[in-house]
Amino acid sequence: MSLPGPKAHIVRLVAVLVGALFAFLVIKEVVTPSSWNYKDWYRGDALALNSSYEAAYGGNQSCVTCHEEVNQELAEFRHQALSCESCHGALADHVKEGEKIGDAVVDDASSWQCLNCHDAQVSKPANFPQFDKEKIEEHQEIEPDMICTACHTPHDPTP
Amino acid sequence: MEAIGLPGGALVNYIFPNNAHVTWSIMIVIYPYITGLVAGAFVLSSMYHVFGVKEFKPIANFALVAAFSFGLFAAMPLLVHLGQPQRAYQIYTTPHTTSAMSIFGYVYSSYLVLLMIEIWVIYRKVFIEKANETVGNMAIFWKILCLGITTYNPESAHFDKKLAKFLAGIGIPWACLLHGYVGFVFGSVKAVAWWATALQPFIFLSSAIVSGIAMMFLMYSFIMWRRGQGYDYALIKKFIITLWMAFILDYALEVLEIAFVGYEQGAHWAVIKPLLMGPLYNSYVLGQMGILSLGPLLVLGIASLLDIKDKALLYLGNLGSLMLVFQVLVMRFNVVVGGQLISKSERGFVDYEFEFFAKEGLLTAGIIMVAPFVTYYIISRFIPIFEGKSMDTEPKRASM
Repeated sequence: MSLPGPKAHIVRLVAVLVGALFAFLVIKEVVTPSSWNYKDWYRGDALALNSSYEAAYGGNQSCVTCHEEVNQELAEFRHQALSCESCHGALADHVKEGEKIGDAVVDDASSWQCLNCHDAQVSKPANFPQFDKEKIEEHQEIEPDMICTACHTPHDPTP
Repeated sequence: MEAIGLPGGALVNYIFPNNAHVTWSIMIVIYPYITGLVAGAFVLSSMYHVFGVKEFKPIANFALVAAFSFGLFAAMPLLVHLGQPQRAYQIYTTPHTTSAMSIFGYVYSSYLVLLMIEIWVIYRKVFIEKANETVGNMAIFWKILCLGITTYNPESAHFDKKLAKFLAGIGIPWACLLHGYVGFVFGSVKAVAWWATALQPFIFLSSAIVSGIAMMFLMYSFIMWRRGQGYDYALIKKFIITLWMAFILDYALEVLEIAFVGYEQGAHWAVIKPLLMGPLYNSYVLGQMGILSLGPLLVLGIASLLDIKDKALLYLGNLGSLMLVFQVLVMRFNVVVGGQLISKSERGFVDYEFEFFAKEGLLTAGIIMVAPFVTYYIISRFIPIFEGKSMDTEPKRASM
């Protein structure tokens, strides 16, 4: 067997690099979605996929169909503008063909749902009711582990 | 809320509601830091490979291997920061040409490939020797690394030398592009007043070179101390002078930038001044521009200009380098986190708190920062990086 030439290693290096580039281009071609829209830069099929998902939220109108009295009551309270599902959870699977098929459970053992909105943050308007750690602890001096709903009614939270 | 110190004499710390968090945190601080170490170490290795500065010969290969070790982890903080790291390849498959960050993947990878080829060309002789010496799986490993060519002749050695010089030559503009590009990625974000300056790429690049040289100095003196091999004081002197010069340039750019923004009294100064005098006072005014800059300028200046020799020179060099690796780290923090402290309202400041155990906390950052050193250590077990025998391993081998 003859000895390899002085530049044989360069030939092989170039071959490896060309092979790697080729492999990259092949992989790029294969993994780029066929419906990729190069003009607006998104996967075309994503639109159909997203619209094929069933909606998880029913919206306030679907609640009012049965709970009209609650809705009228709420109109006088400060939480009137909230969506029911903000606290009661996604309820599209609550009723099917006029029959109740699932519960609208609210976690009433902790305050996390209240703090979703009322957690103190510097970016919130100053007149919006906010509770930081200190303020919550002040409340808990009355009773340890006290939660918001011990005194405030979620539908009518005015103290 | 205090009225004093808020942008534009505002009475209320007014922050847009969608803008209360610093979303780019410590991971995005160490990403340009590690990238900068790569670029700086590479420039240092080119001092010998391209410009033929003889004093730097003993560390030319060391700086190259160190650059590679850091390079492997430069994109790691970005992967940790991403919510979906398994999608990282998409930046390569569908890169959008209007996104600066999107093109970074190509800039970074091509540079890493160049670095690997240069190391390969320089170390081919070692790989061939190992392939012929070892047996079994290790022999297969080394043979693959040689691409099957296990003979080494003077002609190919001559060609390799020329090729290494050529690669180092194109590597310099490439390394500058890589890190200048990181500065470009930040500097082109016009929504963040503290980032949007055309000087940003140059500041990032010059500070990258400073941090790279300083880190190489610390590593060099640590490794030499561990090996017990004795220090090359001619190299150390050259090292210190180069570092001092690089930092003078870097500091001048940083001072010019802030002087320009301040003197111009532009629209953004109303928010930048209270930012620097308020939340960033310790890290920017006292840290980056104060102690961590004036200290090294003085220490390295004394070591460069006065007739200081031997151990005293080494200690001054280490002190200056240590302050500089922190100066650049703090600079990255002041840019990345500092810029985001300004609310998009430009009438208020967001709070930032350090996290420790979080996904993007200090612990994760520490692990990522240690990884390149571990990698360097592992590589150094397989290939000779410094010439001469290490004093601390030799006697042990002899007694076995």
